[in-house]
Amino acid sequence: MNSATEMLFKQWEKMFSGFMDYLVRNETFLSSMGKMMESSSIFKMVVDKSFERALESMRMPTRKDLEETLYAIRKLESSILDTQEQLDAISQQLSQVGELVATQARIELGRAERAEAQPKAPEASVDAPAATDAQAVPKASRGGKKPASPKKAS
Amino acid sequence: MDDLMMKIWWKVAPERFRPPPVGVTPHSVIATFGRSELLSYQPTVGTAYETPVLFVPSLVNRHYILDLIPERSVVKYLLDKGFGVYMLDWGIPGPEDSHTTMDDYLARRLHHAVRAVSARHQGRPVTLVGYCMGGTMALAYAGFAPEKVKNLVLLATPVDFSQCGLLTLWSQGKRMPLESLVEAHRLIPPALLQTAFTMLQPGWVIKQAQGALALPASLPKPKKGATPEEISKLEAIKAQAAAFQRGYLALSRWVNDNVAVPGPAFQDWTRECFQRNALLGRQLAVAGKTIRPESISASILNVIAAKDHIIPPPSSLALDGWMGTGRDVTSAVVDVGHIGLSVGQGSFSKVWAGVAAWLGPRSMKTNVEA
Repeated sequence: MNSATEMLFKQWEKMFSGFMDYLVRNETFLSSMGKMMESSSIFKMVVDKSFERALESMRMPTRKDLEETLYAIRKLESSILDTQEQLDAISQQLSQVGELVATQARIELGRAERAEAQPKAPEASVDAPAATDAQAVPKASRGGKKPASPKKAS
Repeated sequence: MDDLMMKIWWKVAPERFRPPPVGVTPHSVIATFGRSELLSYQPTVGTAYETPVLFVPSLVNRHYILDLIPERSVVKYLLDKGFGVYMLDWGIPGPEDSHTTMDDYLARRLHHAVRAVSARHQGRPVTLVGYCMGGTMALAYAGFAPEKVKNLVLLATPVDFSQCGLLTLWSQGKRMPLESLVEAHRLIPPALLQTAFTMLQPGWVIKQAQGALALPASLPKPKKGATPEEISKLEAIKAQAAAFQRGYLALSRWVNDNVAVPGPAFQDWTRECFQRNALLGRQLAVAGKTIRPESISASILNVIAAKDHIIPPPSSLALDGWMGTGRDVTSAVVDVGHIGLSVGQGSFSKVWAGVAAWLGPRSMKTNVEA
């Protein structure tokens, strides 16, 4: 573009931008545009409704029927995803509980094994010799076991 | 009709005016929710961070603005930094979406996507990166499911909808016949939204087109007897110009690639946000749960474009006051425009280096085996 054309273009651009900036903030313009949008929307609704009635009279599915059916399918898909998530969460909790139970069982088993492995203390006999030290040996209560006392060296 | 016209243009236009392929960073679709897809991008380096990043784009534009061309791809940038990157592509609404509400988008699709991403990372909470309307959606989601969101990065995100300039003006009262528009169209036509965005700054469109398309003719030509140094300088300028034009054509493809918005979702968004300013007024609800700043536990980085003509900075800066004090909220104002945040020539150095630096310490690092 030569300089004269460029200058003219820039002038036009400046004027156009300024005008458009004024127009898009002008209340009269905006209200008119709003009314025009509303009128054309209402006209479209009337035309769509007449097509719907025609299809209904022929017992054909309308666009609205298809849209609602598809939307219901999408909601079902979403519910299935939600259910899958809940099942995954429950499965995770169950496996955690299972691990806890297994750990507890292992601990109990370990305790039982250790208890079995300990040597048994010898049983106290009826003819056990008297104690050699000065400590008084407590009398055994009726039915009770006498306390073990050290054997006298032969 | 618009799609057909664009396809014809791309076939008949000279090669230099055809936009390059977009959204080409290798990825796979790992889940679908209606017509929305969850994309997982292939790592380019070893993953350094275990906290995954999920991009939440706006509903009104295509997702690939964040992965435009390889040299201007935010997705690729974060992949190269070692982040695991995912994208929720909202898709192009179909007939079934004429009943889709904002609750469907937030409490179903976004919720499913976040859970799917989290499940691939041992159930860890994720980082959400929301752009424009996607940022407000990510913010609302962080209040809906705070345990799922570790960090929030908000780009040019409107918070105070009374400060959105022309968009606020156009959404009020009889200027926006919301009910009849939604009832008549069910899916709000992309042409309507495209026109609205163009009218925000009509002169910008002409200026950009004139500048980019006239670029080749305005390049200096080598003079007779030029030295090799002068010739190589001119070649470098030509290469820069070609790269600029490539970026411009890709961007113009995205700008003209608006999608329809489901009527009920559009109605919810316009009425609750632009007309009632419900988010700021603590009245916005997602699936019955009111979104309050106290319920958001995520760390937040709020990136604002100083030259934003779509979402003026005061609208985004209102986040600081809304969240209150004593929170990990960082606001950063950058000297770029709305789209410049993602694909501007200086966006990586001005914006994304800072985002990666902020995000690194707030993302769980991968254990490196000795």
